[in-house]
Amino acid sequence: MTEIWQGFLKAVELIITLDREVMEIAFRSLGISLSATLIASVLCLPLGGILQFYSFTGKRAVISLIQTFYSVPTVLVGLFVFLLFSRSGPLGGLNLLFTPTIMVLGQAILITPVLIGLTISALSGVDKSLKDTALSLGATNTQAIITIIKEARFSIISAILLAFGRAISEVGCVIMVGGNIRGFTRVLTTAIALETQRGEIELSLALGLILLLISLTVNLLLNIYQQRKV
Amino acid sequence: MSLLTVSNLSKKIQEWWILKDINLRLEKGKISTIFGPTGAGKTTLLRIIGLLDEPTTGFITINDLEVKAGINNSLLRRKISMVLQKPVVFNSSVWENVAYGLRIRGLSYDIIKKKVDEILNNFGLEKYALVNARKLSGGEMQKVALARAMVVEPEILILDEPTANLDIKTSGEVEEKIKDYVYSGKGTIIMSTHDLQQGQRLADHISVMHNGTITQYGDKGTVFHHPETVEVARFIGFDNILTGKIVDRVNDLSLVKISEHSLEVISNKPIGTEVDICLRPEDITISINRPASSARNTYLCEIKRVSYLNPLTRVELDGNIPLICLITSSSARDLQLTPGMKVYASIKTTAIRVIPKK
Repeated sequence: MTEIWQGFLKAVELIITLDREVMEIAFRSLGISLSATLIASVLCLPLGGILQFYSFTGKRAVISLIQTFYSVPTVLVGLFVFLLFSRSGPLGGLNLLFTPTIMVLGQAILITPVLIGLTISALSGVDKSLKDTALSLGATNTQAIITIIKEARFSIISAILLAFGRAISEVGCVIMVGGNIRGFTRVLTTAIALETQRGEIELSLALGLILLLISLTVNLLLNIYQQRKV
Repeated sequence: MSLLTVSNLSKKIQEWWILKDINLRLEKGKISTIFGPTGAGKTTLLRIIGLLDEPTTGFITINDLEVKAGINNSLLRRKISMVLQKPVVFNSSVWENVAYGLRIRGLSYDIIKKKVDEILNNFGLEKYALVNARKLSGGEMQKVALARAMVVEPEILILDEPTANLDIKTSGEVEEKIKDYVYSGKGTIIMSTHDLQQGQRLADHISVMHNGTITQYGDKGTVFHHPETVEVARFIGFDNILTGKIVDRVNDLSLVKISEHSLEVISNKPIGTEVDICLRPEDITISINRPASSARNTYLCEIKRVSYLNPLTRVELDGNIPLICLITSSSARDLQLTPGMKVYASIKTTAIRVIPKK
C-alpha cells in the first residue's frame, strides 16, 4: 500500500515539475490522437451524411456492418494495418511501419465506424420535417442538408469527442503498428503498459494520471457542450 | 389565366390512392381553402403543390409552366413557400429563424435586417428576437413559422391547417396576418382547414375534399349554399339528410316522398328520381300551434331531446321524419320546450337542397 502511495506522490511530482519525458509522451499522444480524430472526422462526417440522406440498395446492410464494427478489438485493427504495411505487405514499400504516421492511420481506421455511425444517429435525430421546412423556404438540396448538419451540431461534436476518447485510450493498435519506440512512437498507453511491466510504477502512475486528466477534460467539454443544447 | 393549376393529379402511397384525379385552379391574389375532414388528403395535396412530394400521375403548372418536385429549379421553387401543419423551428434564435429564407437567397445583411425587424414588429415577436425559438410556446412557434415563410414574400404561400393547434386569440391573429398578406398584394394563399367557420371567414374559393377527391369547387357562396354532394352538404352544416323519391312534379315544384310523409321541394328532376334532401337545422321553425304561414312543409312531431347551448339550442324531433333543429335558446325557453311535447316543425321550401342520387 505504501508503495502505491509513494508512487502516487512521485507521479504528482513528475507532473508538477513538467518532467521532460512525461510531457513529451503526453504531447505525442495528444498529437497523434488529435490528428487521427481530425482526419477521420473530415472523412466520416460527409460519409455519414451521404449514408443518411441518399438511398441506395444495401444501405441497411452497410449501416448494420458499420454498427458491428463499433466494438472492433483494437488489436485486430492493429493486426490489419500491420499486415498491410509490413515489409511483405501490399503497402510495405511505403516504409511507414513503426512511425507516428501509421499510428495516426491506425487510430483513424479504428474510430471510423463509431464516427460514421454516430454521425448517422445524430443526423437522423433531427426532426424529419426540418428538411421539408428548409426546402419550402427556398433552400436547395445542398443548403437543406447543411441546415440539418448545423441542427445536429451538438450531437456531432459529442460524437467527435467520443471518438477522440476511444483513440487516445486505446493501446492494442498503437503498440502493434507503432512499436513503442522511446522518443519516437511511445505514447501514454504504450508507455504505461511497458513501465508497469518494468516495475516503474511512479512513471506509469504519472502517465495514467495525465491520461485520466485528458479523458476528464474531454468529458467535461462534452458536458458543457451538451448543456448548451437547449 | 390561373396562377397555378393542378391537373388530373393522383397520388398512391403503398397500396392506397390518397389522391384521386384532383383538378384545381388558384387565382392570383385570392385565398383558396381546401376544406375537409382529417384524412381526406389535404396535407398530401398541399405537399405536392408545395413541391415537397411528387404526384404519381398528373401535373402542376405555375404560370403555365410545368413544375416538378425534386428538380432543383430553385428559381421556380422559391416562388412557393409552405408552412407545415406542425411547424418546426430551427435550433437558433427567433431572429435567425425568420432570416433563414432571406439568408439562403444570398441577400445582404442590411436588407435581411430591415425585413426581419419589420416582420417581427408586425407579428409582435420583437421581444423574442434573441430567444431560442425552441423555447417558445406552440402558438408563438406557429407565428414564427408564419413570419419566416411570409418574409420571403412567396407568390404562393401554402398553409396546412395554420390554426389547428391554436387558442382563439392567437388563431384570430394568424387569420389577420393571412388576410393582410393577400390583401396587400404580396401573394396568393392556399390553405387547408377543417374549421367550417374559418373557411367562411377567410376563403374566396373553397374546394371540398373527401376521401382523396375534390367533391366540389367554387366560390364561397356557391359551395356554402349549394352543396353538390351529400358529403359536402353534411360537412358544411346540412345536418338533416333524408332519402326519398320524387313522386309528383308541377313545373319546378316537386313532391318528394320520405317514408310516410311527403315534402315539397324545388327540383326539376323527373318523377321517380331518388334524391337526398338536405336541410340546415337552423332552417327549421318550431311552433306550438299549427302555424298559418307561407312555409309549405309543416309536420307534427314529438320532441325527443333538447340540448341548451349558448346562444342556440338543439332540438331533436321524432316524427315519421326525424329532424334536428337549431333555434335560439331564448325562444326555446319561451316555448318551454321539453322532451315528449308535441310541436309543429315548418320547413321553408327554398331552404331545402335536393341532391339526386348518383
